[in-house]
Amino acid sequence: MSARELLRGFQRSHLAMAGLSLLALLLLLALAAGVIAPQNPYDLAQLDITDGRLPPGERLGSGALALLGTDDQGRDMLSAILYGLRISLLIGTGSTLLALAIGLTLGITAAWHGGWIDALIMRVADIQLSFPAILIALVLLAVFGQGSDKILLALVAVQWAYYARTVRATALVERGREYIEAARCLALPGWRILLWHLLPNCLPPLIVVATVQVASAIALEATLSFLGLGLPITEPSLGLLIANGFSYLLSGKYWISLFPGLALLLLIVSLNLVGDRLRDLLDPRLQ
Amino acid sequence: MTAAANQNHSISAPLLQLQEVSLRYGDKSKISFKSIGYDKYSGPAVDQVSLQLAAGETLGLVGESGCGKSTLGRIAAGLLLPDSGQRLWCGEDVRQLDAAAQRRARLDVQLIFQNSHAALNPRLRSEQLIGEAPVVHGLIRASERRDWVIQLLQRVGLDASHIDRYPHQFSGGQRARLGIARALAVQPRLLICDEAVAALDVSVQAQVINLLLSLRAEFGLSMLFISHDLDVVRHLSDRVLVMHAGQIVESGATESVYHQPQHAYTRSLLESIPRLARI
Amino acid sequence: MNAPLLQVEQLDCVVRQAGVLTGDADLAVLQQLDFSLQRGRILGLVGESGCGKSMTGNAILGLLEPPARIVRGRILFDGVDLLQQDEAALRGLRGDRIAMVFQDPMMTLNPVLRIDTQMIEAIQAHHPLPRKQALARAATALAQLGLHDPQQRLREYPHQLSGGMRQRVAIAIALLNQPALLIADEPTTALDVTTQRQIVQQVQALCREQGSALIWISHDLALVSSLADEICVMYAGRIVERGPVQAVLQQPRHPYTRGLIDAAPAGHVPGQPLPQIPGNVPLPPPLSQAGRGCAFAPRCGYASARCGETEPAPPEQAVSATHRATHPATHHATHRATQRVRCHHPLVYSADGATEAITP
Repeated sequence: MSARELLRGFQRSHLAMAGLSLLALLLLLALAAGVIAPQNPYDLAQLDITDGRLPPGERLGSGALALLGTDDQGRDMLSAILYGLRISLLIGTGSTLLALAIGLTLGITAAWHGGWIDALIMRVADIQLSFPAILIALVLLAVFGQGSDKILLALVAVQWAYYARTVRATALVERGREYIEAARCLALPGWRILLWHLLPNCLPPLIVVATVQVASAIALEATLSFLGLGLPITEPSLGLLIANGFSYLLSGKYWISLFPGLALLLLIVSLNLVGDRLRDLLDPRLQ
Repeated sequence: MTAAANQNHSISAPLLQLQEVSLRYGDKSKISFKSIGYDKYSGPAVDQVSLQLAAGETLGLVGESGCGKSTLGRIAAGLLLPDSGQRLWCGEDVRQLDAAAQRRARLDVQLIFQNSHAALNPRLRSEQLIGEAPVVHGLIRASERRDWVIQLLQRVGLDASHIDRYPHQFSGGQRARLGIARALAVQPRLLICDEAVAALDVSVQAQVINLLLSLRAEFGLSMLFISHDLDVVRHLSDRVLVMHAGQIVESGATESVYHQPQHAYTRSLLESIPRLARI
Repeated sequence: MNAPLLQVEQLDCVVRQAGVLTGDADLAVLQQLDFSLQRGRILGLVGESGCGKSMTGNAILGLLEPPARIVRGRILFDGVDLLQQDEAALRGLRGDRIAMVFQDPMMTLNPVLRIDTQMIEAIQAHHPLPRKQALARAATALAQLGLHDPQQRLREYPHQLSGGMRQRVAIAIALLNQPALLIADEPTTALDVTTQRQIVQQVQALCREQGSALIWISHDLALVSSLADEICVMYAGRIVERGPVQAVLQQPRHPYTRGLIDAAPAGHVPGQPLPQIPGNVPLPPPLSQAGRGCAFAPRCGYASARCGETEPAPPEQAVSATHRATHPATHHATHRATQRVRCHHPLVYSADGATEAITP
């Protein structure tokens, strides 16, 4: 299915199109955060604690408008959300891509070689999947400590097994297809069949899983940050921003949690809408 | 001296020879491709089958579903290794040959599949689909690929403009032609057609049969034509083998098998074909 | 003159295809379908894949689902227009007076129920019969289809049966209530020839015995010729020729029918090229472009300029036109008035049947 056909498939569903447009907008905002954000929330020199907890629409001490208010550190919420969106997306997609690469390699190796290699890889994946993702991530972070690289590692560790399983199942089916038999009949080298014939045909279901997984990775990162185990407070992701405002919710300072929460919600919903539609389009059984 | 004797030997030997090959359910199918070799074989069985195919000859293999004819076809193609018995190509066991000769021997036998959809990698355009193997094996240079593929496309009745299309952009009949072009691209001597025209509509089936007939004449191809359709087999084959439950129950020149079937199973098969009264 | 059991009149059917840039378009998949079937007769509906033969069967059964829909025409069953009936009335008919068999018997059979449960249900859904009697009737039905040890088969689940046995059970279920019409859609295509022959013979005998009319949908002309009384040849959503089996197959008047018969390898000198129909079966055209010329014209060796411009009238009208004696082939056509063809240039045969010529 070509990119053009895919786009057409999206256009047939208003909901999916809305999801795709929203996702594109959020991506654009995250990418352009450094340019469009009124303030650099990571630059502690720009922050003024006297600006703390300003409601939406107030002006900072510097005269700049805090459209969505400020948090207890005096950070402009809009800027913090834009930067938070960036870091959430970065960690979500980064961990997904890494996990995808690892899972793909392991899964296709298992399917191609079979035997004890297959058994070993898949049993490890089974054990991995039998524990709740959050538990594994918590344990890993407790061992390794905090930091964006650590959380990336933790997210990869909990995700790779999904890909390994998906790709193995697909590869087992595709391996039995006649075009693989034809390639063998043409005496093509094994690695060539694996890379050029088998692998590309195992990708569509993976892309679907990946889209949905980005959303759950972002959600998991937010959860971990909310629990105080994720990113440092100096580089707040969306989850940490929500956690920051949590204690002020009951005192009526809703904006500190609400706006990052909304941003997170929109991001995850749009990713899921896109993922669902991709699954519908790429899975011939659902056509 | 020995070389000359060998030469003589391979000239007089039949192109392909299977000697009492067997492959049974649950046997370890040592697929001649080691990385897939771990499965237990789970297809229909083949039991002590022998056959010979001379150069330029077309051998028909008929039988009903599950009789083992496709399995036998894959053993003949060298894709499945029998767990007993021998497969000889030009009188020699291919696995004893040196690498270059082994590769040539593998390219000499090509399969044409029934399901033209599953048999073509959906992610490759015609150019790569057909042109990949000849370039990999050094039959042509990469720079010659496009011309080579165009020539083949035209030979099988497709158009040069089809070279950048993906398999799903073709009709069933065109995909069958594409599969034939892919096989021809490595200059084989034997085509094993496994129900190659079974999935096609009658009007298209006739086109593909005619194509196979003309290619056979032009390139002096041998064929093993596997089908459940007795009429199609009769039209194409010099000799026929009738297979039932993993064994060859009858063999002989096509017309004599069709006119004087010896085995009861062959008779019941022949009686079962619906006949069209012709003017 | 008896009224026919089934009369399909001017049936048009479209499939809606979604298009983003072009907007949704209706594709004309069945066009001016017109045929009838007398009680107890067997009709073969023949055509290549995509010609609309399965859709015709489903239309009669009321089983068409979006994006397919009927836009015009009538389907009279026993004088009642099925298209005017509500779903409840159709459900009452299906499985009782009209039954169906599909290529895949698992369309009919429920994999988690035993055969006896399914057969008793099929009877009791339409007739208040005690269990014991229903069971006896089920056993008889299985035996009639040549299944050995029907009592044992009744206690089994579908997965315990072979493909051929499953199809026999599906057919037995279809014939349980002695339907007036059985529609069989390629029921033997997936089976081996020996099994196919047995099933064809048994179904034919049973339909004759019970007086059920049968529509046998198939791509296999030879099979239909061994079974049917009449034949409809379909091409690109139209019936291009119909009539008694022997007449149509021995002296086909449509070039497509002729081509189909000639393209089969049986009866040709082995090793010689087969007469082939060039090109491929066309895709259904958008409704707006339908009816611009004969659909077969691009592949037809006899096509004239007229064929590319106007679509030949459906068979019914073509014949009445023939009777108006304006057509050169009239005098030949009268002795087989029931053989009808949708073609501007139908083939005609000289008196000895050996040579053929084309009407101007």
